[in-house]
Amino acid sequence: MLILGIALCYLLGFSVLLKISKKFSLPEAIGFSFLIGIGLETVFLFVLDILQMHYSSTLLIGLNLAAIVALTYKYTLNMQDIKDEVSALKPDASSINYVALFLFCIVAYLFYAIMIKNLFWPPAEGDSITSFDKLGRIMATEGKLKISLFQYNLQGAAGIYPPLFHGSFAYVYIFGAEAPKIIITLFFLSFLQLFYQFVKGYVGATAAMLFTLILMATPELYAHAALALGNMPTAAYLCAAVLSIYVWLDKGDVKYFWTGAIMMAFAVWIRSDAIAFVAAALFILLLHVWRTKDFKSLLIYSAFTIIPFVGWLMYVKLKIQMPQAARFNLATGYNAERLNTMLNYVKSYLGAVSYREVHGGQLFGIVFVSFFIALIINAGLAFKKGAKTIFGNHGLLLIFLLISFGIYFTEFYLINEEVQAASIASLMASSFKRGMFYFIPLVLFYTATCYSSKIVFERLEKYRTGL
Amino acid sequence: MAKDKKNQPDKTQKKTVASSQGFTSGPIFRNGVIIFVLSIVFIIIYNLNGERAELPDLHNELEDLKERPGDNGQRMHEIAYRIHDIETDTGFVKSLFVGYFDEIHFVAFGVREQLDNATTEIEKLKNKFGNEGDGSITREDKLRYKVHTYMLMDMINANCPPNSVILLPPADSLANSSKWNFIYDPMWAEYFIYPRLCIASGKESENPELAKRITHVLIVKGIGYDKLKYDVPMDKREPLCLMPINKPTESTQTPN
Repeated sequence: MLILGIALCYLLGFSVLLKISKKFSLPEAIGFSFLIGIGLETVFLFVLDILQMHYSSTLLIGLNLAAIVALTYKYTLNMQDIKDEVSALKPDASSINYVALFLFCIVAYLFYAIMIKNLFWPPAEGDSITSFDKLGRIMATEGKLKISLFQYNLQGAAGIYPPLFHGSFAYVYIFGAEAPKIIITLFFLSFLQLFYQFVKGYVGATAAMLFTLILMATPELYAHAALALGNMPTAAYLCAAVLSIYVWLDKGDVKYFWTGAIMMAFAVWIRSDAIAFVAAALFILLLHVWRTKDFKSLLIYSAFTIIPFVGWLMYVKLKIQMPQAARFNLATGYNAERLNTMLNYVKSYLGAVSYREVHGGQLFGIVFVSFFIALIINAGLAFKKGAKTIFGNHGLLLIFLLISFGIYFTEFYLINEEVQAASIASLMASSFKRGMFYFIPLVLFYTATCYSSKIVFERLEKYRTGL
Repeated sequence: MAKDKKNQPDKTQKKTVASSQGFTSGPIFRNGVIIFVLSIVFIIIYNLNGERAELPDLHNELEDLKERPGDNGQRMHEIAYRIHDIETDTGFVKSLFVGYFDEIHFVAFGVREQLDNATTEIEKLKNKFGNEGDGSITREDKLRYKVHTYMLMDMINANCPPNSVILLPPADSLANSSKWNFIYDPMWAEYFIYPRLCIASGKESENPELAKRITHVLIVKGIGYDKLKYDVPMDKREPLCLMPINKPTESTQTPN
């Protein structure tokens, strides 16, 4: 039954992808299918709750089949296309990229190791027990999103989070799962597949596989591939959302506009604070509109990303009706001590040095250090060859990173410590640290595809192929 | 697009190039060279922090010595210094790769052994506390192994009807020891005892409706008898038990 539920989830996502375009590569198709599919399953759970219809596997199977048929009934299978795809997959010995294959074997082994660890243990992390898994289990038991525990304020902190993450747990519980962590493995798989494909589009398979290895091996991120927490899945959505939009702006391939908009909508549907990234993306789109007068794209993108945010806010206000103390203290003025603490933590994470109980190097390895080295090298090259040649559209990505990090930092600066029942130091050492995941794929993408890296990888590729 | 195609060699061209080159200049050899170099780099990175592999054994030995009577002071000092040396030997480059070493050595290479050991321990626990079911390890068995206080949750589930409301022990007496997990936190405890409800001791005023419905008190470290609506003689007070809040009649007595 669980296999059926997961298969339906993939098929639903794939049906949406087919509606967008038939020209996605295999890793892209698999990666996007899961992220879209599981996102839509939680939209179904949300709508069923509003309609006061009790969740059941039969109802969800019916809904999925209806949606899949509605999305694909006009689609005709072109056997010639499939034959072409299959024949393209047959490599000859001299054209096999053995380096990428070698790196893939390491990636596959690391993935296998973390997968068996993840699937062995049921959720036991504090946040999962107090919130995510509790909400998911009870949603499946009671057949609704607003579970009975809300009445006694026993739902946990994630009760007011948008439902994608704990809803995905509920989905697999409805289909008979004993523990929900298969979802974590599938999120991680999609994350890696999509990151690989985006990087490959710019610097080829060898570099893409190397950077996929670096991404997955990032110590703190790798650890989260075996924890039932929402940060890594959010990073998967944001990675797909931001890189899709970047590819659309850079190469003009419209299918990535749609995947970008859908992925960003689901990023907001998994965590409301992803709105920081929506703001940064909208700024980049405004720059695009200023150049191209393409208002339609801006409107569509805004609608996609704002609707889930507002929809969930309305649900919390009208249906859950939870009295909420203000999470942010907007009256926070200049607080030197607070700012100093925060900047020291940021320095630790980005500079790979230690501060109090954290050590950026141990948590994020070479990720941010290599990004800054790449940035410095390219800035140096920009003096010689001009900024436009060196940075090109990467400038947009760097502006995006700067704005989103600025907003993310400000969110924490304004956070109300009393409401959160935690000091700013402990928030920086836990929540902020986990939020750094959102930036990891983006800075690695820049490091892999920047001007200087492209030259290095082109030379490596020339040597490798002997051409 | 046409320009791109012109630059990309087709398969026959590739084959011709490959066959016209000797083995040492052919693509397979060149791929091998890159793989060799990458392997060397990975091995160097791994070995940079290789001495961390000793840490679990050192920690285990230290724990053993602490619990073993006798004069172990000298050895304990040596181990403590060694652990300190390893953990503080972190130059910038070395520290960049510490996390990678830990995940490769302890997770990727060690996961099978860790899971096998955990399985053995879980089976032992299962045999000790009522070997129910078909002998396969369930989610509950794993939680019993992972969560120290799972037994107490089991006790609540076994002895309280689904509509019960449990008063949890106060946080101030338990929060300083990981042994008790978060048993004082209703958000945490609720996960294990649902559909039963629970409420934190001392926070009754925050949830008066639930406070009125308390049916049981979870006594931990002998704390909580004052919350009962009847007196329990001192000599009959168990340090760890579940008590009904109202005095039970003989027919409704809750077994502990």
